[in-house]
Amino acid sequence: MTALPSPRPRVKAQVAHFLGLARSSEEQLLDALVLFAERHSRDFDLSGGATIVASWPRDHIERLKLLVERYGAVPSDQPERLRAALLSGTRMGAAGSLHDLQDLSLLAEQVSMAWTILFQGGKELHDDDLLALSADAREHTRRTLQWLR
Amino acid sequence: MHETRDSVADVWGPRTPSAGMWPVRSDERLLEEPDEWVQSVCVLCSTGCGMDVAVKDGRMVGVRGRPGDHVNHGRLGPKGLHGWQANASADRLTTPLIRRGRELVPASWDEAMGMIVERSKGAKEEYGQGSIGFYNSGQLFLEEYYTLAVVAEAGIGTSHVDGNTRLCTATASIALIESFGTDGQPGTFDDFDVTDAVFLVGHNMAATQTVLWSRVLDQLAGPNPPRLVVVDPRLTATARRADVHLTPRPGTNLPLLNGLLRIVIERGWIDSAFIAAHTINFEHLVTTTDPWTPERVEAVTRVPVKSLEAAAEIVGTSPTLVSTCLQGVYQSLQATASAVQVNNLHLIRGMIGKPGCTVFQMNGQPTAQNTRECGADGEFVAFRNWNNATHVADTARVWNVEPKTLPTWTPPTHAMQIFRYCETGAIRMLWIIGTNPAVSLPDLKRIHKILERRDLFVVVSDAYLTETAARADVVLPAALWGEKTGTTTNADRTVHLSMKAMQPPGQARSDLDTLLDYAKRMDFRNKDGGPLVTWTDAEGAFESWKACSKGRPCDYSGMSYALLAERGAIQWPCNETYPEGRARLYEDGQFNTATDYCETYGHDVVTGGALKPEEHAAMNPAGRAIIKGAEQVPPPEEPDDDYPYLLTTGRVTYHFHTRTKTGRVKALNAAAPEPFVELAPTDAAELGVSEGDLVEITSRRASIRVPARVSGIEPGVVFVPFHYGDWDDPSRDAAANELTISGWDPVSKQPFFKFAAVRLQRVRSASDRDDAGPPARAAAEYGGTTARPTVGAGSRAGAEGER
Repeated sequence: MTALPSPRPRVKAQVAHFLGLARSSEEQLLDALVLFAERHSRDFDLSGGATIVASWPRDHIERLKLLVERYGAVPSDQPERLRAALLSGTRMGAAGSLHDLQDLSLLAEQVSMAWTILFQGGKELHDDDLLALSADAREHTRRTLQWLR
Repeated sequence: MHETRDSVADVWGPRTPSAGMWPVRSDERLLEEPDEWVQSVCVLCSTGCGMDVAVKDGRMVGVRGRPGDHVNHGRLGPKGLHGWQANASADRLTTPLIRRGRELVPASWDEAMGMIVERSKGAKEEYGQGSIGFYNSGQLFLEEYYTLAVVAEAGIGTSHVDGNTRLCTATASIALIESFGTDGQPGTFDDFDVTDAVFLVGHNMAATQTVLWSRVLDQLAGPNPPRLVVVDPRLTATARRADVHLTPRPGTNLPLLNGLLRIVIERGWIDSAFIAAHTINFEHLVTTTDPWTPERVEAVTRVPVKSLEAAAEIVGTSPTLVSTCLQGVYQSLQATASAVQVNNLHLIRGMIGKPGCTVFQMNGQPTAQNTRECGADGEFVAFRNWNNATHVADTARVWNVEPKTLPTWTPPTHAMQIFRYCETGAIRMLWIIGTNPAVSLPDLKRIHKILERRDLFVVVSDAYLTETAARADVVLPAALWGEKTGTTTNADRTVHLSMKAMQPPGQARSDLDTLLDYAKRMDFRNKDGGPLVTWTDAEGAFESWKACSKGRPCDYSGMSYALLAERGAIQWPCNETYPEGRARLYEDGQFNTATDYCETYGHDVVTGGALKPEEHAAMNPAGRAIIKGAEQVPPPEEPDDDYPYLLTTGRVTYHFHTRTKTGRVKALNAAAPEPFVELAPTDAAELGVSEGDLVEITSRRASIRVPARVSGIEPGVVFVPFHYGDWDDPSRDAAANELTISGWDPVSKQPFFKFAAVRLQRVRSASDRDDAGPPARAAAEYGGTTARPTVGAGSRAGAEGER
């Protein structure tokens, strides 16, 4: 009888993939929030709020370094392609800001999805650092989406 | 002239040491013997001292405190004893004014109102009901706010209604709502008489609520003095009496409070039974406070570990505790998040709803409470939830309109956003009532540009030609307190009746009469085709308000003018259950957080993100208080090499707001005639600045020039009073709000008046100034601070026992 192969290498590879996705998504969300804050600098409800929630991607990107060292990270250009499609052009007025908020929501959803999968990975691998960061990041992203609504 | 005390020379009066019951002493100031005394209340701060006005030959000739009033026990402060004289100022507005080119020329009421009505109808037709906005005050009467709310929301149908209370009280209201479900101060001022500890967070009570401070001083002088903890970067008269004085770097209230809470939790100074029975989300607080060790708090706030621990010991172990928050919290960073942490302290210690145990989210302005209750400030009327269809329907029933005509499809617009809409042209007509945004809003250059826009029709109702009125298209002369009848409510839910004592000058009218006239001319109708506004005087408005408030926490249904005249003062709720009114709320630990009763579904206190109804229902507070923890987030701007100092702004004892009234009273004005910048001795030395030198202060937005006062403020921090516009001296260039940021709290939308990065430069020495006035009075009398001793690194008042 052959023993079943350990799930660990497969899960580890998935984690590497989604760490890459998480990192890219967080970077894109951060850039988008900074751009949004500049674009709406006359509306503090928008620019001030964006600056507040932008502190979270910054924090996650910093904390990701440890995990990327541990697992590696497969770079992903998917977030960049998404971001380029969104937030493009000059958007004026109230309709413009609504459109921007929608685009930010899409980016934040992408971040959220990556962390949800990483949270599962953390559980399977019993990695407390991965679990802690994923849990925090999911909560932060939930709060960001709540603010964006 | 007869006065029982000189309140300018001795602000807080002689001591009557007490433990428990505060002695009675009637303060009085009379210029002539009166024919009669008229029942009233002081409206120059949110204490709301019961007072009577002396009248002779149709003129006000003096005032006296009412001894039987639970708020002040007969005492009055300098503003109360002197402020009434501003009514008689020669430059009162006595006719309407209409702009013709550069000038404002006298006009009749018919002409002025005709123009306003024409522009209102035109704006509504061409641009929609959302093109009209109302920016009102914190100094009107209940009946005026209520009428304004009905006119604006049910008549015009606009959600652009807010008051200058956004600048002073918004956080107080929101903090109470987030924790307890609705607005409503839980305690009563009598709590100060029986408490073992007083915790003043960003509240210079000595300067801003002088009679309440007298009450505290009398307890401190008595046999059982409470212990006092004060949080303020300035060594104020309040702080000088503290057992522990914490001086956090501006903008760091939240880390400080998190640190205090962490110690309280760690040492087990909590009431676990109360937490379990009457609160939810305590675990979240444990998580958010955990990182804030005393060492980390010191690194961020500069408050020494020993001071933090000394403060925690007092607020954590005292058998009873009264805390207050005011502008030092509300106008600083993360205002709502910080204010809520003070609520949390009381919740985790079970210090609420019993004698000597309460938190006051203090109101800034005299009748701010009324604007919050009547829905003239961006909250919905009678603490209802604009997002709850049943509440909206209930309001529509009282006002006899269709629910769908009430503008509740969006949150009410806050003041800064109203001005932003004026800036973008979305709002075409702005009616400003009893406030002076040209001096009191942040980032004044921007505000002046907005007010001067050609496409914005500005109406100003005021008693004087303020800096704002000077920029209006129509100015309406307003009656002041004393010249009209109405009710007011203070910061411990006490309702007073203020009777008309004299006629307003010339053709000035009360704001109530102006609004009633407007409603008639606009022909606002209810859903049966009858007039929307069914009352014709103040008492009529009050009766309608009673019906509107019935069943809500601020229940006035058991009150009447007759009862108020007889009893002098009544605390709401006053209804069948509490016919005498009620001193304290939440005595049974039942809060107003039920999903179908609460005022809002709540917010993330860090981001301002709003909870949906289903999220609130899932949380299921069911009458338990909601504990909300909060983490620190980065500030909107930081000091750097170009702008190395932090600016905080605020008030002095003798003045109110932009000095429209107090600047016109000789004694008050003489006590504090000029602005100044307070800076620490070490900073002064570094800058080569001496006492009285003219200093230029520059922020990323503008510059001002004021004389220096070297004082006991924290190094790296400077203070400028915000009162000094240029209505009385066009050469003055000292309005503090030129420097402040167009930024605000994400939940309460209250602006950051107490946080901006600035640089300082000496311009002229004191001896070279040709505007050098009389010698400066002692800093304490400005409500300012005294110089710290320069010897000894550890010489902090309080820790060393300096009293």
